[in-house]
Amino acid sequence: MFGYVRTYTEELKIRENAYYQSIYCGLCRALGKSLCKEGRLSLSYDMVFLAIIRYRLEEKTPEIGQHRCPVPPFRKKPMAETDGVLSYCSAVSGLLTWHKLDDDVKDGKGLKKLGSELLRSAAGRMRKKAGMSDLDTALTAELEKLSELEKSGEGTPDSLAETSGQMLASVFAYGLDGEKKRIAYEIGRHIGRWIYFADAVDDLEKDMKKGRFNPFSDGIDVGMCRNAMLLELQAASCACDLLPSDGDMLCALTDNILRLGMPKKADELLKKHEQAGKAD
Amino acid sequence: MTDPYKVLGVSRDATDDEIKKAYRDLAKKYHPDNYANNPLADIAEEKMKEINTAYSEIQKIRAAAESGQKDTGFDDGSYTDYTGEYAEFYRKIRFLINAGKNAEADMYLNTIPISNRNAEWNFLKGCILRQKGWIYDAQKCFETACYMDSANAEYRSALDEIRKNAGAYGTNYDNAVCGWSDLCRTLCIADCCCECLGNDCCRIC
Repeated sequence: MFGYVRTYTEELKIRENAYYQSIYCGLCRALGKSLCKEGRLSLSYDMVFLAIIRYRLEEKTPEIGQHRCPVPPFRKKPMAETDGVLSYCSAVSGLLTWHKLDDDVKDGKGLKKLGSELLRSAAGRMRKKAGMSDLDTALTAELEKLSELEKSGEGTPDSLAETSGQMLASVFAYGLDGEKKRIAYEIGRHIGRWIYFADAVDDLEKDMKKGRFNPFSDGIDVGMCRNAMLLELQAASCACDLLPSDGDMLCALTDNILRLGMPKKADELLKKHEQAGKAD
Repeated sequence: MTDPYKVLGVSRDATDDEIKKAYRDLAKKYHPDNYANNPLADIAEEKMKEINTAYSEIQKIRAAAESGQKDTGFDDGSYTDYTGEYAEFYRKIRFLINAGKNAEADMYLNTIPISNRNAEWNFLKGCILRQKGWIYDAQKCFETACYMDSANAEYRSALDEIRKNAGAYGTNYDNAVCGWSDLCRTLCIADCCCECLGNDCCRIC
């Protein structure tokens, strides 16, 4: 994943930030435990957000224990214990990382392709360990749809983003049913679509230079893109408001990420693009 | 009456796309936004009306020519013949959208040949996309609708509403600006370095 889904740390309470850190570290530890040592490298902020939402969906709170981190091993740190939620997030992280590398291999050339191939074979073990072949199939189907849309040249930004939205919708809603499933689906869908936009804006300059596919290569309307991204977040936020709100810190973290962290990230990416445009 | 092709500055055998592009370029040029608080606004408005009329004139001419050539294939009895007026057809689509039958409405919209897609078409398409949550594409459609018919308040307000809603959500973050951001950043970096060594140097950021 990409790491766009972040907190706005300045506005977090110290204990909330510590809580976030402990989930982050806990997920890293879970990655090592349920996948493999290299699995830790697939750690991303996006997956921490998934963990927070899955805790709220399953109406659980992380149990915090003290564990040693391999870097540096001097001191124990508070970490969320490896539970069902974190194991699930680790597995998802393994699957998504494999698909990302697979995509790099398909698109890459020369040395980069070789590098991605090596990494993919390592990630293949993570994918096997992750299991969940039904989710894997759903992800593969959406990725195929995406590459078809890219090739056809008929994909509008939103139709392309929808594939990413559907992928995360299945990830967020996996194994749930009823009302919870519908809420999780909505959150995942809007987050996935937002991530697609964020990634497209972030890569726009690079893709244009290298002649790679980008949904905005024939022009981006920055204002419209900002509006679209904000409304994705608003929709995700509305869906989150329907979740049980027992764990107040999990709630505060969700709000901080959706209302401050992600809008800030989008703003940074769009501003970066505007400045690059001016420099040309 | 003036020659509509001449108004748009295109030749009679220009393709539909060339005409659309010529129209859009002119519409951009004469757009009321460019003439806000400008004493020449009325002239721009006149020009805009002129190119709007010319564009729909050409569309009508071409639609008539096309419908003479082939059957439209739309098999709902009352709408089989929609060479002249689309009004009834669009009213039906509006009704479908209001009733929440977006898929059906979209299907009908897509039966209209590209060369005949006017401002209303783009507006209705935008409404369907907006309801689907495809906000970027929806804005593009509303924008096209506004260019094609700049006098229409409904099209404009659809675009404004999206902007307003996004703005309302975005302000959350604007208000939460950390005045010490540079210091915060420095401390964060320092904090990260310290954390690597096993200790937190600060708990501010």
